[in-house]
Amino acid sequence: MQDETVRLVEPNSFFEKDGKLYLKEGKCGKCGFSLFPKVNFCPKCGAMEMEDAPVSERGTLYSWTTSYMTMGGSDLKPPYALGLIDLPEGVRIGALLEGTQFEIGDQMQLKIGSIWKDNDGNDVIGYKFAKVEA
Amino acid sequence: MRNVYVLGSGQSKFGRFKTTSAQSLAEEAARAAILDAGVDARDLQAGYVGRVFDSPGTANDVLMRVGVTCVEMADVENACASGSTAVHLLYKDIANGRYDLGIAIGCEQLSARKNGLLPPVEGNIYSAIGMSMPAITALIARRLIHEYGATAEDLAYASYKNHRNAELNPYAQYRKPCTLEEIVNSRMISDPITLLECCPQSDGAAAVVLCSEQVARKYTSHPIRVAASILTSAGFEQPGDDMLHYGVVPRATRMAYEMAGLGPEDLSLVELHDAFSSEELYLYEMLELCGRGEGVVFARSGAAELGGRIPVNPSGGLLALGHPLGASGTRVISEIVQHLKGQAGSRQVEGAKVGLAHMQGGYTAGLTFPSICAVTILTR
Repeated sequence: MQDETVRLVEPNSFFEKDGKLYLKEGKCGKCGFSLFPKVNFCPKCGAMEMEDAPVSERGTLYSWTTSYMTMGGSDLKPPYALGLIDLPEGVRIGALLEGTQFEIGDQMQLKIGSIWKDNDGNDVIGYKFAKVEA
Repeated sequence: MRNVYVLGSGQSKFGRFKTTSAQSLAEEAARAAILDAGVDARDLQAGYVGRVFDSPGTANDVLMRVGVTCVEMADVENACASGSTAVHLLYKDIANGRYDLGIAIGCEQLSARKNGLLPPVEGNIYSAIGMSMPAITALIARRLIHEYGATAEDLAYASYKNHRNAELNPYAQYRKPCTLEEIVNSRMISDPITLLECCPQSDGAAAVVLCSEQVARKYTSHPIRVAASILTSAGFEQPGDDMLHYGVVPRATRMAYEMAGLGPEDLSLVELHDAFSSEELYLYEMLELCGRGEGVVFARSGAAELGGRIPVNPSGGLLALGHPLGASGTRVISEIVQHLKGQAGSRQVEGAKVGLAHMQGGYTAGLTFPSICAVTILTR
């Protein structure tokens, strides 16, 4: 991922380990509290440092929507599905969803990779959640 | 802390005025508020101007046009609560005894913006993936369907009600009522939220003149008192947060009732942030107008309509009066003042004695939604 042509949807939200890209949350080394996106402060115990930790790969869908609007300044093209997913570490994460029909309570799986192509046809790398296949 | 009073208020018409600057709209509102207060503008000791996207230095440009110079003044930005923040800062200056008379203005010019769209928030992961205000509101609206069986008509209800109210408001952007069917069947923006369930982009301004008790006595025998002015921010998201009942809005509301020594049973009317129709249903609960889980039933009962138990958004709200971002926080306070003074014309809430103005704004990933809330309680 050192390739400078790779465009991350938001660079600070990812970290790399052993050549693999992870979606980053903050985990408190003292009390174990997790939050997304990472900030260097623990809301639970007040520690002024948090560790990089990978976001859990499975979660439960809290809500979802399909958006039909263009975002100013973005090359994300509608329609696109968005959701909020509750993760086992106690984090609720907002994400693009793969697919078109969902139900609250669906089990969701994290996927990291191309999430859309920009106006020049290049991949924008980010994260999505998709329904876990039954 | 000293008592603070609203001496005068005013607003421009809201709408799309491509060739009118934010400064001109703000001047119109400031002029109306100063004339309503009956003060000499040269006696104003401080001025704050809330605006989101307008030019830096708006305060100087606006206030010099009404003769206010050589005093403490500043632009303030606080997302959709920018106009509330302008009023709150002035409130604190007067309550704390620093000044006795000042003006707070909110303004915004959106229709002249180049591509017509609001830019994403830089460096915010949720903004980068398309989590717009309609989208986040849609995610909460789906919980209303899931938890309380809200129907498409329930989600459209506030837009229907507020468009009817706006018909009575000469300042409103949209004065034509629409049917529930038209609202439900309008273009989908972010499922389940339709186009006519979203506020328009608007241009406009509002202003209020605040003063101390000593000054109020000189100018009026019927002062409107600011019984509570609360501005606070969201906390970190916690595991399992219930978005229909949790966050900064219920907390700011409780603080405001406690500061005023009043409760929801004392209210004659409410003006609230209805940028999207479905918001009203859970804001009824968060502002304690009804019990937990009763928002949909409260709406269906007609309690929030003009003539109902507690009219909500008699102005037409953000949905039909319009939503010039920086102006709305000041405008909701100005609207309450009009009713308390009995000056609200054909939309007047008869015998209004206590009013609550709510405004919220912003969404910061990692914090509960929304990120800012202002609640003001006014009494006569």
